[in-house]
Amino acid sequence: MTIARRFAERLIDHAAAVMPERLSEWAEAMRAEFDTMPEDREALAWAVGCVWASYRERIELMQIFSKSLLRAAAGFVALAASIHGLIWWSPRYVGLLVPALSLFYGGVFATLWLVELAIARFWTAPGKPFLKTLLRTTVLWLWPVGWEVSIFVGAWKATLGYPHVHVDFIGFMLRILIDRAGYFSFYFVAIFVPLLLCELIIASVSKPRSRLPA
Amino acid sequence: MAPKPNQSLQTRAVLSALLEKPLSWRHGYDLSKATGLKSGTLYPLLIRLSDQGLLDSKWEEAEPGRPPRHAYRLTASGKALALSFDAEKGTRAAPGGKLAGKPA
Repeated sequence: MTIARRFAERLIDHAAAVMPERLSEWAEAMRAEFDTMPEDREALAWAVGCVWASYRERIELMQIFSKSLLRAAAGFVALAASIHGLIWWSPRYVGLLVPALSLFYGGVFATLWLVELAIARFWTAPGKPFLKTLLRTTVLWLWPVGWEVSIFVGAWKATLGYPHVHVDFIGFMLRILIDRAGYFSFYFVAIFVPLLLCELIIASVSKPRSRLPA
Repeated sequence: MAPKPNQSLQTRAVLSALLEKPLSWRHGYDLSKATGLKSGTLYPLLIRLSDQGLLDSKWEEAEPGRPPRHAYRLTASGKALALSFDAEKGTRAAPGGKLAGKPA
């Protein structure tokens, strides 16, 4: 058996594992078609499609990715990033720093919360109740304090007069370290890195840079 | 506004492929080749159509040593929907209100 075929079989197994139990018959149907394919390349393409189909069905079941909520959260982050840019551009707007950071953290925390809920929902299966899974994957108590953390970090940043140190990064790293399930860090970093890059780009194009009052 | 169900081009392609041989049972691979749809698009559509009662499915015995295969064909309501799409297509193809495929 070729490597491609073996890899395709692993993919088909994965597709069957991800497919919701209600639709397990369909996972078997996809596998049965896979078994009739003589061409490895075709079988591999089929297997990739099956993984995609299984994830689509699984995500469909979650019903947690409320588009409007995600848009609102993204809106918060975008608004906060714009205010950040404004502050870097001119010290006159320094008063907006704390609300900006609050918006930023509010948006990011809300997004992460939705993502965690979705992940928990994703892995919920019979015998693995949703709440139990959620508790295993989320440090629930951290979410209510998200806003306080943001205000604290904002104030700290303003006091330091150090807008480019990205003190907020510490908050995120703390969040990642506290999380009990290590592999979830990946999701957080994956979300955080683009945000950090956006912030850095805004900071670099906002000229002239101002020094914040100590 | 939420999009109407079963209006996508892919759904129409699947219904149209099934309508070509309405009495025979078709396999997923065969449908994929007939419609040009990848398995990742085809199966969610088949699941949806089956849930809506537009598609019948059954397990068919395959050659010895091979697992049984899932086969599909349109139900009466599925056939009616596929025919309505076909008629619509005919109407669009023949402007001026003349219904294509209808006897004069």
